Amino acid sequence: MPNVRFEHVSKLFGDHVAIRDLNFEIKEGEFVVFVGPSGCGKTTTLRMLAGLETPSYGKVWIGDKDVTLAPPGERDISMVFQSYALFPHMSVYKNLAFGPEVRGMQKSLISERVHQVAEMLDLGKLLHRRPSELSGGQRQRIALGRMMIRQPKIFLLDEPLSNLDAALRTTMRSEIMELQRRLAVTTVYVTHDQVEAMTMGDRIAVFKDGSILQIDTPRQLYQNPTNKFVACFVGSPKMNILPGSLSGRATAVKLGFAGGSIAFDAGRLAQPLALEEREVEVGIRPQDLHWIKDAPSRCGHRLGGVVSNIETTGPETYVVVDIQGTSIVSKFPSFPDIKFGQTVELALDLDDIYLFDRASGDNILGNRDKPTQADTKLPWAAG
Amino acid sequence: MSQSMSLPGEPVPVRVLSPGKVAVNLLLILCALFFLSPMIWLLVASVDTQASQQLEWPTLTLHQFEIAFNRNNMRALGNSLMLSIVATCVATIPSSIAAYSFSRHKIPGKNGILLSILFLSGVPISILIIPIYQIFQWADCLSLIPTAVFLGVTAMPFEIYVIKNAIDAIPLDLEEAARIEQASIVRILVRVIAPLCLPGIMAAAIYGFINTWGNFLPPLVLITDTVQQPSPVAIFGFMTADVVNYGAIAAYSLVYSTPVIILYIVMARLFRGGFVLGGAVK
Repeated sequence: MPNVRFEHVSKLFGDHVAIRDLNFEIKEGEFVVFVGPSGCGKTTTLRMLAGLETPSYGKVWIGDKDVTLAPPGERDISMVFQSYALFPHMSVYKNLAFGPEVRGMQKSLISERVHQVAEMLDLGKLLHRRPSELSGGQRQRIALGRMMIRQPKIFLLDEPLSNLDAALRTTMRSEIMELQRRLAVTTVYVTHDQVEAMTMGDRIAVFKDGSILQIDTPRQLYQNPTNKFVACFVGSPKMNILPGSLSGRATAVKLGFAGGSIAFDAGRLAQPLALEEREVEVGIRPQDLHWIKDAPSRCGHRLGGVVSNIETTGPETYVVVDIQGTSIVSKFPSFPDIKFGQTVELALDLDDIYLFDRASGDNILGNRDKPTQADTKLPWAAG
Repeated sequence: MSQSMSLPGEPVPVRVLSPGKVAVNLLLILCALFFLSPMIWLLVASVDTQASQQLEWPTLTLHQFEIAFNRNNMRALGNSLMLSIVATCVATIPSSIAAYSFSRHKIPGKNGILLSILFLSGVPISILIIPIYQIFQWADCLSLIPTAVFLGVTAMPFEIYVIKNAIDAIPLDLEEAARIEQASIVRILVRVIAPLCLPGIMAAAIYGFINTWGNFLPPLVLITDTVQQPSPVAIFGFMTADVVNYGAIAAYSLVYSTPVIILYIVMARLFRGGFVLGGAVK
């Protein structure tokens, strides 16, 4: 049974359509990440699920209950705010105990539960302190503690890591994942960081302009993006996009891009080519574009260009190569022996490219891979 | 010292005193003395048998304080306390709730209402006194408590403004966090909002208290029974047609100021511990 369901949900702020016709389900125990650029409606959607905003159209279901108009307190959810929203005038203990006290839990039980949660999050020594005396990471933990103090149906997290420094973010990321696995509570997590989304989510919903473009597993999102936006949003560095065209008929299709024209396996297209010629955009991930000296043997296609920038990260080097006026990022091994202005040759396996319709941005290739066992074996399927 | 001496390089010469700084500070000290002189007069005159308008060396006596502490004057002080406390409560409690609504709720024409409230806080009470007198006379309530209520109401516009600003500063997230924990609106007000805007509420309450404490005309006009008159009216009693008892005025003024001074000292402590928004949101 789905734990959360959105049915034709739209939200208007004045005349502005913030959310347009959302339809999705979240299953019991699933970890779903809402990701997208700022202002795309992901936080608004989370707040509608929390009951902090009321949808203008449609219905929100939690379990088999219509909660569209239910106040937040009646939804059995708990939430971590981006700002943490800790009560500054209360000690850590009081902050954690606030919810149970409101719900009239027995004093001794509250104390037991608070200490249990504090133990789990390593907050034991901080219980008598005020939030202002704590570091960002510790405040973050208290916010998580307040979320965990009861076992709600759903955890909601609104960009909980965005205020932390990079090192702490990585640590907290795995801590949150571990917690969620242990407690097996349905979780909705909002972030603008695609790396966070890819590492954490069972499924990821990519938002843009108030709509979900795709809601899928990280693997599907990466391999079979529905359109150019999703393809560019997922993966770092960003996918390269080059103008190109498909021409020919039935089985003899040619793909022209980057100044060349090559035979293209028509079987990979989702639908056979209807017109003689079709304007497309070719997507190539930097990881799939290899330096000729470092390329796997399957990479049959060659491209030549001039090095215009070199970004060294250590384990690998991203080199910007100018190919006939288009800047393309490609992955080189660490510290390659190249210079600015040098001509380099790149190799590419045509199986790795993505094709999008130039006008609509839709992916025009058929499914790259059948979903594997790893994809279908999700936590809720087991139980 | 020895450590800093061992550091390499020339010490940077920073000039502490310059002629300009000295001149400016002397001027400011002079201004301060100018404002201090009435206070000194008050202290000296209160214990001087020959007290007059002049500031002069006193012939010591405590007789004036005996007058200040006599039964009638103490009763007037009690009336003043009663008047101010009632007025403060009448003003501050509804103002806090109104301020919350203005801060958090969508109210049609809110800005207009707030502007007129701000405008009303500038209207002097004295221009209202005649119609108010007539209303009070008609309703037969020319006495202490109704006057206190009236004075409280006159403090409300300003208090609403002060408290609203304090509530505006509280992040909305805190309330939402409490709502998600199933807290009722009353509990949110009492447990989250009130503690966090306490400094604002206290500042408003002090304003309400002082506003009534120092008021002379409304009690004089609106309270018919002389037994119910507060201290400002009692001070007036020290000035008869032919004699002005400066010493007694000074002594009673000191007694009359004491509650306000105590109030400030107590509140100062509250204010210092008050601003705790740090750590709420980052």
